[in-house]
Amino acid sequence: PLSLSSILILSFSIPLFLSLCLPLSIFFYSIFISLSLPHHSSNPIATRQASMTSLVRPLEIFTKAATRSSCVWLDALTSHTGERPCWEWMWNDAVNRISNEDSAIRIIDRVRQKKLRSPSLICGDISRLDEATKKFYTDEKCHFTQASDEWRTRLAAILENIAQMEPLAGTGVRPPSTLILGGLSGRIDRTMATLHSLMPTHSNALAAPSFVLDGENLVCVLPKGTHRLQMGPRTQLTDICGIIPLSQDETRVTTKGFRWDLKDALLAFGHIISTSNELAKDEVEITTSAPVLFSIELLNSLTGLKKPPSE
Amino acid sequence: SFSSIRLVFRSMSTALRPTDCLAPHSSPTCCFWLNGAPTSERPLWRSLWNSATLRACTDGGANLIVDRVRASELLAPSLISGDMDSISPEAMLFFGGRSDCEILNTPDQDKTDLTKCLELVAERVERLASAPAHVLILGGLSGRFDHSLATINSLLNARGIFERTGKTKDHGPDQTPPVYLIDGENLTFVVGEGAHSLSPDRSLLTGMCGVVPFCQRETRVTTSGLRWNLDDTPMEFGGIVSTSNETVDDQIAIRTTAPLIVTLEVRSTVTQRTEN
Repeated sequence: PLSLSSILILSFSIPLFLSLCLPLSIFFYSIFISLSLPHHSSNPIATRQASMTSLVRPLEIFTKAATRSSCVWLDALTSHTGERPCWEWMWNDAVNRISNEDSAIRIIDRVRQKKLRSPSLICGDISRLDEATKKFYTDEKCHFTQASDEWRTRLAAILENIAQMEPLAGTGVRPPSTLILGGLSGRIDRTMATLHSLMPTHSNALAAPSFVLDGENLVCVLPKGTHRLQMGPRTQLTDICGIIPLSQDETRVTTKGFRWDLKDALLAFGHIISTSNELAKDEVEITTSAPVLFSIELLNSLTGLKKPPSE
Repeated sequence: SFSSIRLVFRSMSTALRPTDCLAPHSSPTCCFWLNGAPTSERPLWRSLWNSATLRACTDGGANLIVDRVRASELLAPSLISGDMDSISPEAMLFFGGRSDCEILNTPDQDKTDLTKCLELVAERVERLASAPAHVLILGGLSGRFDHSLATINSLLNARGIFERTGKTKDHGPDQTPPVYLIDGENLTFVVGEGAHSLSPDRSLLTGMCGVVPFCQRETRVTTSGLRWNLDDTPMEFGGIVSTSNETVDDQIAIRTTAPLIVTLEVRSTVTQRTEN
């Protein structure tokens, strides 16, 4: 749980977010956060070397609770959300459960019925919660953070916060990933905001990629470098996937193990992006010169699971 | 924060009224029905599709509409194109048997089915008596996520595709039809490099909007008419993107150094409309 001082720091930084000086705001904001939270570990990794290959196992969000020790529940604000049965146990297993005010309202009935655990933190426009809702969540020992009404800022702030909360092992092993439930459905500008929040920034450069699970989509942003992705067993995947540039920097990608491998391909919107590609092997490799979005399609037999699969 | 700047351009690159695509048009229009998630469909689509002069879909889209065409709720597409790996035998049989429906196999792996379909329709646009008022794409931003981003890429390419047909016509002013996409309550389109004036009918919108850069090149943007305006601001993912913004003026001006995705939220009372 966030300390009181960090909650105060978050509240004071609201005026920064009312302007559009967002990079500056994030820079100062991350300084505030790093000053206010206790420092973990004695020898953090200062920089990731470009030659280091990262190992990514996206499907562990289903099998290893440690990979979703922080779980964020986002709401689509429409009746057609990307929610699936697996969200419930993934959320309930998480140590840090964070919602915004919309999802706090969305799930309150199920929290009352004890089908869902209460969020440990509600970060959003708290003034939009009515008194009864606030009282209920207060009684559930939930913390509140009043954040700006800009969707993107809240999610990026949440992710940076989480990256600081996870203990850094200092052994080359990444901290556990964060799982974001929702964020890709409904209003398209909010979907773009989710992608924006996944982009690597100065303060989250050391964190493992955050995963977004929405409908049958499992999405993450891989930073610059080489990544080995262990996707097996692929029985619960359709194998359909995409590798898509998001950074404005030149994005050259080389892959191994896909049906249509890229060989130092220049990916760019308005030209070529890799969509409707397919995994051809259980282990694939992506080397990229700039952050890329990696999106895979799951089967609803996996997202429809009502309890964790046996490992 | 940036103060709202009322921008006066001597000559606009484009003047757009995006909400025009939300009602059947008296001039010819082109309409595409995509293979999107059924949850993004709205009752409004029926009147927009049926009033279009040229109707097209990809092979996946044909599967979605075949029952309703058979039931005479929807008119048949004039054109179905794709690599034909998704079309159901039922749809192939039904549409193949109609003389008013062209089915074309387009196996190019480097381009998406939608891009190829846009190109084929653009070729047929020349046979129309007058240039279409606009091109409308239904669906494409829900469901499989890599597919959604492929749709964004097709939107970015679409202006160039229809510009090629506009140039062959011997008309004075630029006749290139704007390309709009509707998915759920989203009305999404591209503004290209240059200056643009948008005058949407705000009674049809909720006011929520976004301005998002996608291209891998510097995108400096200036706006007026939004709650939070941009002032020669460099925009990029990981830097600044404008989401959860609001329209506060009847005229919105956007000047940009690279193509931008603009999205407006439509009122659900509009998307739920069924009457013509």
